Amino acid sequence: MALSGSLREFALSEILQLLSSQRKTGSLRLNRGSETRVIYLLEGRIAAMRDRGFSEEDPLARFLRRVHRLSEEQMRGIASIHAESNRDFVDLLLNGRYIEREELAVLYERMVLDVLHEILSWDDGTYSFSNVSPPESALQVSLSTESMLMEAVRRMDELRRYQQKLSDPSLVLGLKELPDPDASLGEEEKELFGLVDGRHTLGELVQEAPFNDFEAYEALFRLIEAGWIEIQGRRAPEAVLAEAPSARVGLGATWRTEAALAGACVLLILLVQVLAWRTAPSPARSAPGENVYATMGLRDVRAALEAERARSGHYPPRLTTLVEQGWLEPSQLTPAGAALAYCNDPGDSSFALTFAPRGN
Amino acid sequence: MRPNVTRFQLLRAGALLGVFVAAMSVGTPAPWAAPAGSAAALLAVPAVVDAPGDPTDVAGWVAYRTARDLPALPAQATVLYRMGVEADLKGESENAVRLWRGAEELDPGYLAPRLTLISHLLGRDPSQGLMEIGRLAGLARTSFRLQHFFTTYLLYYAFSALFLGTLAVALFLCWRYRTRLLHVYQEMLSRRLPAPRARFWAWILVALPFALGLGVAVPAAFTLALLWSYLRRSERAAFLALVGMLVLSPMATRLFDELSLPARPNAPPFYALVELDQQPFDSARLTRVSALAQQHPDNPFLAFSEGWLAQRGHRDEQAQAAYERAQRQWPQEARIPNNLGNIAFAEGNGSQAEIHYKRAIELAPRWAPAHYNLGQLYTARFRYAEASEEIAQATALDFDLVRGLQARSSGQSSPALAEEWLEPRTQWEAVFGENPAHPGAAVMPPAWQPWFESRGLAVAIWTLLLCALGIALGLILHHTLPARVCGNCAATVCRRCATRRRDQVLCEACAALLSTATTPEFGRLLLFKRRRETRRRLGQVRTVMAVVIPGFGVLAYDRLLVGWFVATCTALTVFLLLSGHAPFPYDPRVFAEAPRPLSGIVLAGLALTYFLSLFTYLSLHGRAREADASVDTSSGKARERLKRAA
Repeated sequence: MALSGSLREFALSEILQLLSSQRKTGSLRLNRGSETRVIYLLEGRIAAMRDRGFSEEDPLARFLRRVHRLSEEQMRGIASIHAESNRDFVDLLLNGRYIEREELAVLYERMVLDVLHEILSWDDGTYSFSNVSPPESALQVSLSTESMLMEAVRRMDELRRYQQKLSDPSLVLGLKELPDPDASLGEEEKELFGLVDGRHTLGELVQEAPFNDFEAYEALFRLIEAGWIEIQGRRAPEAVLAEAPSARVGLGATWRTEAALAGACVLLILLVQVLAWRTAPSPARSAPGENVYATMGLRDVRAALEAERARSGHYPPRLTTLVEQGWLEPSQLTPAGAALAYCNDPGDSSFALTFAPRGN
Repeated sequence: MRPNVTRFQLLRAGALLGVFVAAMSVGTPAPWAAPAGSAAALLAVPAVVDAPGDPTDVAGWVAYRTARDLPALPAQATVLYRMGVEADLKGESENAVRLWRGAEELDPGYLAPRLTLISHLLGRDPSQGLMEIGRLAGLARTSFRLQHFFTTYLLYYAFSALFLGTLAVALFLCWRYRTRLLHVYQEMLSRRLPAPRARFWAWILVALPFALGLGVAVPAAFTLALLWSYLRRSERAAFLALVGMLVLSPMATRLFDELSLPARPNAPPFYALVELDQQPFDSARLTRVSALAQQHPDNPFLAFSEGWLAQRGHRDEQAQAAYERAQRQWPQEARIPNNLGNIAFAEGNGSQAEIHYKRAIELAPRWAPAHYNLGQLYTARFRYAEASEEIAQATALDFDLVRGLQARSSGQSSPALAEEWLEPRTQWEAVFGENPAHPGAAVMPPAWQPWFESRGLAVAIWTLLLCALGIALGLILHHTLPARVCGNCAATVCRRCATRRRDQVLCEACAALLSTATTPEFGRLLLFKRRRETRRRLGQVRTVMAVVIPGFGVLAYDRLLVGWFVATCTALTVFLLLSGHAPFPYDPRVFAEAPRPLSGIVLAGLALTYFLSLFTYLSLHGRAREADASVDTSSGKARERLKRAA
């Protein structure tokens, strides 16, 4: 069965839905000017989006270059091998160990979505469907056409929303906050986060990012929403990238700043000292007789005098004897800083021990 | 005076717990104190016994004390205690125990020989040691002074250790997060200063709060307030605990001021008369107490003291009048009617004595002395059946009291009657009741006096002000320039200086290392090596610190609660070993060279704390290494790849 017509009459989504519901097998070719895209269906499911072989226009090759998965050098190497062996691009990628099979499957799916997203936006061009089986490939793909279509349409809607905020490619994006160590970031955000530096424009970031446009816009939008990056201005496309500001400071300014800092520190210390002094409780000015620790110290000396008498049979002539005899420590002879007055009775039957009047 | 039973009960429970703690600061003999539940043989005729000439004649001194009916022989007990210590140092252990027991007998309220005996016997004869502890607990149950002493010591050491432990954790957190503040200050200053100068001034700014003269705790709280945004939940709890302690510190100082009341010489309600029951009669003292009681007729403690002293001086009329005055203000105190009954009994007024004793029993049915005295009264009045019942009840309630009194009565013409000084509960209520303002400055433990943190309300105000300022300032700083850590080596970075590789934030050193790598795999290998090297170096420092400072290693592994516990235990044991003496010592501090009882147990506690800390650290360290090793093993394939790339 052959099916052909203009995309103005039948939208691509409607054609794909029809082919999917009819579980058709064949190839759908789309042309717009010089651009050509092909979708191979196998029983209504997407089986391939490229022809066998290798060319510069191969959608997979373009996609891998776009997402920085293959370098130009690697591409040239693949092209030369292909020229010699005429082997399929996918076969070369896998056998040449450029990409592992699992990763290639994921990249292929992303490529399908990227191409669908692109061609769904075509509003003119032609299509033709023919009963041709999908080309044999080292990578078997079978994607639900409806799911792919729905995702592609969602991306179109979302991209419009993102571009309302990030409309101008000359916007300069800068860092607002380093990510919280506990915050989880998507792969796209992680990749893009390292590129945002307050010097590159939106267009440059999207171009530099290892993603397609939608993925790059989506990641940037999320980073802005999370408050980690922000729009810091606009840079004309022809402007030269400015150097990072240097931290050179003049000697005079340094001296003035350090003097101001030193002055502020000293002032602060003095201010706090004055405030602390004003709020400090007034020092104890009570007489030794009213001081708990002084009276307790007096009690200690009395006890020591009695103990010395009990041991030696007489009160000591001086209080320092109590220290010499090991009854007291020297500091105990001035309890709480108060001097003591000691008088031994000549008959050695009693003693007088009081606080010495102040000033003596 | 308004009773404050709840606080009293708590304090009494605390007093028993404080026995051990108090032991550490008691190393010296005591001059006074008499047996709990002592009986005054008012009607006994003392035999004439001369004082022995030999200070070590324990039996002679005990006989002398009994014959003279003296409450205690404190000076002789002090000498015996000292001689015991000296004998112990010479290795004469048995003689030492004999002398200590003699000291205990000559002055039953003397704490030092009891604690020394406990310390000595626990290691050699644990059953004897436990019996000594039991005796001490029995004494503490009835002695207000001992309860007061233990309570004060327990609170003093508990407050000090808790505060120092929390402060240690706070200082650790300040040290751990210092680089965040340093980095932010440095970045801000580097706008106007060259990098080395900015770094110098950043250090000055971090250290500045500690140089303001506000002690250590308040600046630590301020620094943690600045770091509030970076602190984890448990670390914030530690910060709040420190702030809480500082804000509540005026209450602690006030509590100690209240607890100082029994020791204050001229302050109501005690006027330093709590030791009166341990002292022999002295007419000069009675005159002074009478004058005070007349001066303060609303003070029942003074009225009771006057009655007690007058009764000892056989001035029954004065004693009776004083007791009746006290009874009007303390109608629930059973000791007053009991003592009034004793006076009536001595005067031969049996029926009046019976009324008083029955009143005392009504007020305190489980108090043995009133039952015993009533039993003696019934015996004197030939009512043997009732007498037997009362004495049996007294024996059931307090066997030791009855045995002691009966021993004292044997061979005497009149029975010894039981009487006791005021119940501890009544005295505790007096401590925490509404007391008139007392002269002199507020009292706090001497060791606290130099601390800024003990300045009362000023500290609470400073803390609240600085913490509010710190949190506000910290939030502004965090909003302006939040600091993060390098994803590889954990150095502090910020958005100005960080280099980003995908979502990984790298410091300058790591980024420079990465830039030298020719392939991403080789770059990862270089970063891995640097990370391992940094971790190894930090691990060595951490291990050294963990060995030197108990608790450090545990805190370094984020076990804040265990770390706080270890720090508190360490602070407690070190404080017990090093602090000179705590407030309000029970025994007079004489015989300065006496070893501290139970210091061996405290040393053992310190060693246990140290090994607990070290063991926990090594266990955590081992677990961390295992985790690292498992990560290495799981990524073995990747590592091989990295090696190939290198």
